[in-house]
Amino acid sequence: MRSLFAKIFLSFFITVIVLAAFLQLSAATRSTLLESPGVRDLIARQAATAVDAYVGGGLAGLRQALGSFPEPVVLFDPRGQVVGNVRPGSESIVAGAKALLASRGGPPVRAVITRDVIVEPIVSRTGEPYYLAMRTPHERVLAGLATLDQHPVIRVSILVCVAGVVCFLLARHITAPLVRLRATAGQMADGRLEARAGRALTRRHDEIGALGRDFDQMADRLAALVVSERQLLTDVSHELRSPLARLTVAVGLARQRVGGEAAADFDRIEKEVGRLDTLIGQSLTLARIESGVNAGPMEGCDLTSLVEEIAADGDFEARAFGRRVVLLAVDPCIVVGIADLLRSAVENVVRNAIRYTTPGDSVEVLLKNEGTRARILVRDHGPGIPDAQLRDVFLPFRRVEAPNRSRSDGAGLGLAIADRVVRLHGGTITASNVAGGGLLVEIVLAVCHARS
Amino acid sequence: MAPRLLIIDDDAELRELVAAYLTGEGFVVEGGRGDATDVDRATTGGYALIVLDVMLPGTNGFDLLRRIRAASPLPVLMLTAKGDALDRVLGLELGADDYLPKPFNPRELAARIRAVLRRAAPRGPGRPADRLIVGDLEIDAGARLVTCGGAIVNVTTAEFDVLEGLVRAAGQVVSREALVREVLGRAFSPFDRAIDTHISHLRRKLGPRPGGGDRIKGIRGVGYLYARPGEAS
Repeated sequence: MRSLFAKIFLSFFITVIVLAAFLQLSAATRSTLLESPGVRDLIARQAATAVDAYVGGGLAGLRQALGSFPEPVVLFDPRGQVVGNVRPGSESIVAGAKALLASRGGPPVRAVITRDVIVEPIVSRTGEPYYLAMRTPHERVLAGLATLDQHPVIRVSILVCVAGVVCFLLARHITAPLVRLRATAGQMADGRLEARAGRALTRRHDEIGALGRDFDQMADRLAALVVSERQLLTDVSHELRSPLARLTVAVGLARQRVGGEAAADFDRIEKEVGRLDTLIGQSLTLARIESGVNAGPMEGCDLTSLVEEIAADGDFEARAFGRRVVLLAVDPCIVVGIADLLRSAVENVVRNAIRYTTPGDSVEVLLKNEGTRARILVRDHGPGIPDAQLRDVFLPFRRVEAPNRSRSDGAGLGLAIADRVVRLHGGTITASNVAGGGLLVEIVLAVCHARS
Repeated sequence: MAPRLLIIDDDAELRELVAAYLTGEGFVVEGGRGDATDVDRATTGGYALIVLDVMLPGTNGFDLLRRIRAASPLPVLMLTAKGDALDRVLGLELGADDYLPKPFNPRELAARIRAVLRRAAPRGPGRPADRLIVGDLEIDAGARLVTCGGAIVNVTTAEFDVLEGLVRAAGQVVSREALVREVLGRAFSPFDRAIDTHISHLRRKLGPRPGGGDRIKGIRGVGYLYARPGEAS
């Protein structure tokens, strides 16, 4: 069977046919099978032979005739007595036949069949009515079927078992490879690009086998694309940074030779080089996140210590500019995610807040665990931004121009990176103006409860 | 005598610029392109330190680092691609003493080279408390040897220094800032996770305490602490 369609169709078709036949058989066995012409003919012939032998050859002739039959038979004379001796093994036939004759209250005119015996009337050449009795053929099978006929519970149980086994095998045959395929897809989604459906699946000849082969082909292509994209990103990074590296060293060399005369200019050049470098780094990070390349494994991340570390580092950095980062409260909190990316998201938001906070003031950071959701709040004490542009701050290179908002040092990608990372983790990031001044950035992520 | 340095980088122009700068800073500098012969040169040339670009095309820089490390304990400062955490971790794992992301400020490079050389220099005699023993851990600061439960633990120069810094102050919290500044001998820059990488390697190499629990505890937002035996974990 090559196709799944055929497998499903034939399985159900055969099951239904078999069950129907079984039902029919158990209900109608006795009448249909036993009254078939073959059985009747055999009995009639044996009866005629036995009576002829007895009438023509007496007891000796009868014994010889009976000996030639494959099954033991017993001949009754017109008075209902057994002709000759009852041979060993035939007692049950005699008993069954006598019971039958007694229950009918007289000699039968036509063959009578019960579960145990068949009684065939035969008229001898001399005109006397004899009876031949024999065991009902296939006694055991028929007896079993007859029992079933009398016990519907057993019959239904057998039906349920047969149907259950067939359907179970069929269902497993179909779903087992799908489960395997799903696991493979999950592995790939987790970044294990070498995961494949496997031989057991791809060598099947049905539709699932075709799906498996197509899946593996797709996986090959995907892996090749990801590898080439990764290579491209590395190459771009290398090619862009090599001249920058030479430039920085050259500036250092010039500074070494000329000394303090042009120090301010050198500082300026180094600052611009630093900006370019940051810009390249952030662009590449953004490209990596968007392409899904280099995304590490999703695992349980301790958001609490992550936020605490970022706040501590941010505070260190902010003090250099006369600002502070204050951690108002942190709840214990675990989320599932890529730790490095989450770190860079929160870090970018905090750094952005430091940049816009008025000197002497502080950035407030808060981590709340609300049961199913973790909420990270970062509030700066700066000028805020016009309400109409609140959404735009998460777009790449979108620097919001507002009064009192000086030209920033950032490359303009920090919040865009945070936005991509949070969305990659299925969370949301929003910005709003706080009454009393300042911008509030709010990150909401799903909390992981699976691990304690 | 001026320390001799070997710079291995495939970018000839950068090599020349760096050599010129470092010469101005009082080092004797030679350059290599990163071929197989550089391993022999590095290990037998009598250099004080190797500056190695791990982003070498063709022959992998990590390969070179591994081969140099297999042959000699020469200090290695590696240059990495910026932001590639994996490269950094792998480099430190393979025994690099420090790293600097490209593009780097040459002043920073010179300062790092001096810090690594200072740490790698054999210590003079008469130094107090050359042997530090805390629980089943023993540090021989003179021989730069770490034994844990009687077995010698292989640690890199940087890991040794971090561990020594923590063990000298066993039972007290040492801030990440202090570890970077005093132990690694360079300016603390927030968001730099190199110290955490060293700590996690040390934890893995030393294993848990005999009674269970972490030897090195992280104190959130503050720093790290080497637990004295008997202290609650």
